Amino acid sequence: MSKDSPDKALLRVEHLGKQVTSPDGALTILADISLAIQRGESVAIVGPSGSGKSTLLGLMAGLDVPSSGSVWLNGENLGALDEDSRAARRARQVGFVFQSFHLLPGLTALENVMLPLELNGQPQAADSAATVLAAVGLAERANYYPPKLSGGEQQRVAIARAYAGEPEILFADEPTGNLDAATGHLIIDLLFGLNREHHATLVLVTHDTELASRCDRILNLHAGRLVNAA
Amino acid sequence: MMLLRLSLRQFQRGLRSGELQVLGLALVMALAAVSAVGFFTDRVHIAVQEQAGESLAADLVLSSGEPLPAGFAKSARLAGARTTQVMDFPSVLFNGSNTVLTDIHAVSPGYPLRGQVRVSARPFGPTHVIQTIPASGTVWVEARVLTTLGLKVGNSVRIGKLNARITSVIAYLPDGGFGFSSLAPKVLLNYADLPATGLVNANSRVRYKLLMAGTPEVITALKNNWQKHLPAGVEMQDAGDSRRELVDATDRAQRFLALAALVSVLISAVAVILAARRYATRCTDTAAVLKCLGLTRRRVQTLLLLELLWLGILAGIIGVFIGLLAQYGLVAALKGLLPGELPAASVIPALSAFGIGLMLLTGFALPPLMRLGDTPPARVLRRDLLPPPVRGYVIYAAAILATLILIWWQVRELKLALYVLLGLVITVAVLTLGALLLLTALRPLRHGAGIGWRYGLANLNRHRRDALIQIVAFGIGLMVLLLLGLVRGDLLSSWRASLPADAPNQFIINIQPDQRSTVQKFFTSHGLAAPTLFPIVRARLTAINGVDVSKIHFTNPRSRHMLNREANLSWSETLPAANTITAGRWWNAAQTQQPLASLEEDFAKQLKLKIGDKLTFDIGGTLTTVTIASLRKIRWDSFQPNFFVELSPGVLSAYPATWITSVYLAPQKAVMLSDLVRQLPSLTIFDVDAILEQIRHLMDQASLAVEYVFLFTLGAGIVVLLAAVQATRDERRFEAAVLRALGASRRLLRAAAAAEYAAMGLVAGLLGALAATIVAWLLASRVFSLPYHPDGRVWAIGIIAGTLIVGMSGLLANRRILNAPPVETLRET
Ligand SMILES: Nc1ncnc2c1ncn2[C@@H]1O[C@H](COP(=O)(O)OP(=O)(O)O)[C@@H](O)[C@H]1O
Ligand SMILES: [Mg+2]
Repeated sequence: MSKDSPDKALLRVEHLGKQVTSPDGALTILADISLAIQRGESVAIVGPSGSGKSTLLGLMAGLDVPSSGSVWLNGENLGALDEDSRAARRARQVGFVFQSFHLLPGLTALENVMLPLELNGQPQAADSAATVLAAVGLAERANYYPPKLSGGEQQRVAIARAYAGEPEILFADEPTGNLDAATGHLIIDLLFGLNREHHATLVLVTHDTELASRCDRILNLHAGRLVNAA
Repeated sequence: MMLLRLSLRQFQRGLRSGELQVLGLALVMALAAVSAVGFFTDRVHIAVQEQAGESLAADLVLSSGEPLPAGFAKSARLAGARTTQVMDFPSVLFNGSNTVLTDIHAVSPGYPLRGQVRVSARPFGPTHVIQTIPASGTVWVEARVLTTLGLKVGNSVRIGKLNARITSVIAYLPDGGFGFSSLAPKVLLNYADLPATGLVNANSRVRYKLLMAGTPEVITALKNNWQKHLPAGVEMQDAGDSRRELVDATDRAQRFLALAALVSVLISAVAVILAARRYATRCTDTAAVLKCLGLTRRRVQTLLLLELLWLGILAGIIGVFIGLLAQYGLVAALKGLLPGELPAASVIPALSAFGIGLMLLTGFALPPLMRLGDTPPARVLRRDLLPPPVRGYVIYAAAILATLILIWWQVRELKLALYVLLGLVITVAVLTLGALLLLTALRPLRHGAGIGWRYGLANLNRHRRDALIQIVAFGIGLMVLLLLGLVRGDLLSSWRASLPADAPNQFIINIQPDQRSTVQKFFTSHGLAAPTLFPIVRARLTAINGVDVSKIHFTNPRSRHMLNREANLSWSETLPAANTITAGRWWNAAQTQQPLASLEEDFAKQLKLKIGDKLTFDIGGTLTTVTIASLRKIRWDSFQPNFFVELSPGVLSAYPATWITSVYLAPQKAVMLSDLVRQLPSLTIFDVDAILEQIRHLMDQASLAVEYVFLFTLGAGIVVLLAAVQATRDERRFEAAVLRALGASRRLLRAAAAAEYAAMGLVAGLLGALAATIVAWLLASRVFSLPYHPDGRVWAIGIIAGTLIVGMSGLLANRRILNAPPVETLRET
């Protein structure tokens, strides 16, 4: 497909490759990956551990730069931007949920949720954040510091933080990986629920096939290559 | 705006983490040290500035060893200046067996022309300003006179032939001297009583002074008028000269204390480096998350910078506050050397301390933190991704630059700053090397004792670099404290011990020709040998090889001083005992009538004189020219009267002379000198031991102040220890947890920690003592040419203090780690 044609896809990946130099020579983590994700879609990336899922997610979110190929977000080539410009795009368009929560330990639950709003200079950050925090059922925990919250609660704060900034696309890397099965289910319900409410696009990395099946589409990654692009 | 709020939140929370606490503590310690010294010296400085204007008690002073021609006072009054006369001379006061050498300050009505005298009714009592001078027959004395003599206000004291009643205690004299210059306490006497004392005659050691005050125009006119043709021997001083001298003297003291504080700052800097590095590591995750959330590199850096700024401000306020309190300790240590009441300090020391805090943070904490701006955001996905390491040279360059700036800031003199840096580098190098050797030597010992000991020593060797840093930090602190506390006293004792036990300890001066036999008989009648009396004739050097000395200019101030001051000439037929000829030849019997001179070799060197040069002296108005026939070396510590210039007997015998002698009197026999003085009141007696005691007291006080400042150095050492514990905390916690899970008792872990830190303290103490001994030996042999007797106490105290201080601090710092329940720790990791 031609690069300058008007593009309906929110995210487009073209011939993406990632190599790193490791002590035992060059290592190819991802090779020739092409895919497109439409607005409002939910996509699961599945594959065995070490297959390159997190790496792919990081590249798509603009957290890292590819060795070859390109990533287009909202019609912009992320590779052509410098790190600070990519940061600006992340601040406005992208939300994240991680396996290990990544809340800032120095801020309360509420303050963590406020963070992306404040970064975007939104005036009513505290009110909006409180609303989202209530939506994940943690209104009473607003002034707790993360270390005092359970894993499930921390992940709910993280989800609230991810959606508070009204991102167009949300990347989640094994969001249930550190949680027990029951809590994991709760988290997933919350994730899909909020995603629908906010009309956001969801890219979910998991090796849980049941979880993956709840997505509109599943991408299978094996040893750094897409196996089927169903 | 948003960053400001975020930084404040992060900072507030971060304060609970050990890293920021240690970082803050290091700053507090450094700033407390500098601001304590800063506030103190600032107060002294303000006092000096305020009092320097009046430190002459006049605007202009003429002084001379001989009575000033009356014309000066007359023309000063004609020009519109107020004048008053003062006469200063040393005199020993007695009360029973107690003696004190005093400075008699005989003043006339009108004194002081500038400034005010403050007195009190009893020593250290409330003071008040007094407008008069002592009434005839009374004296005012400094408190030290009373305490040394065991007298009270109202008692009488003999000054020469005069029996005077003490009516007030002097608290402050405008021209009483300042700080270290006032070795002898002052006695204020009415000028009109001088004849009654019988102490003043042509050859006594008297300064005649004419004090003048008036409008600036009058004073300038007088100065300009006299400047050109002041008679030889007359000195003119104005308030500006005297302020410069005072300010110079306090500047030197200030720099010295500032240097002492600097050591604490630099040791704190080490703690700052350790804590900042650790803090940066901890902040890496936060930086990655923030970048992931869209914060740019710049904003991440700004955020960290702001957090550091908050820390700097908070620690700065605390440190400066502690410094403000601590400076009272310095005031107390130097009590008696300072003018009565010090004015309040200005804010400048606080600002300067904040500047130093900023420097510490910028030079030592900033580089590792700024690097966090480059944390790859992908770290949120892969924990092993790290920000690119800071280039080594950036860290070193920043630290070295900051160190240089800090040193310069404190000493304000490039050459001294470089010397200090060199000294520091050598000391650190020697201590590091020593620590390395000792740590290696300790290694085999670990098989000796129990498991706690073995484990502790193993830890020490594993964290070898940390251990070295801590040992050096403590070693420096212990070294300076030992040096000041013990070695200083040892040096003085060594010197005292190097003198023969019967070295003369009493000087008797001002013996008139007709009193010579009385003095000698006095000693023989007490069963002692008749002392040898040496003649003194006061003279002034007027020409060298026919060239007038006013045309000879020396750049060296010491030479200039020697040229201008009054010379004490003596004569002798034979070479005096403690002298050896180094060039030329002493006169033989046939030459005693020829005009020859023998000079002390250093005196000759300073004035660039050699054998054969001709010197012209003005002796009581008559010019006499002599030829240098020999140079001598003098053993001054013989405590015999010795003279720079000896003339052949024929030259001087025609001039009026006074005589001087020195004798040894056992302490219990010194009392008899009061009988001699009662018989011959014009004699002046110097008790060498009493003077030494006064010097020792001064040195004690001065070094107490410096030691006090160096206590902060130990504090800084403890902060370094805390920082090092902090840096290895996770590892230590994990190990402790594993050991406890394996069944080790808390006691065992404590024993291990005790062993680790006690061993470290032992090494630090050993090295501190070693370094102190080396420095003392260098001082003794190179500077003072004394035999140095190593003192066992230095080693004992160094080792015990080091082991205890470091051991206790280490145990305390590790308490939380050792007491954490193992399950918690193991679950976390
Ligand atoms: N920066 C890197 N340096 C070295 N190896 C890497 C790097 N990033 C990823 N890898 C390796 O690439 C492979 C894929 O990693 P990742 O994307 O985290 O896999 P997944 O998330 O599917 O488990 C792993 O073997 C990982 O060790
Ligand atoms: Mg992964």
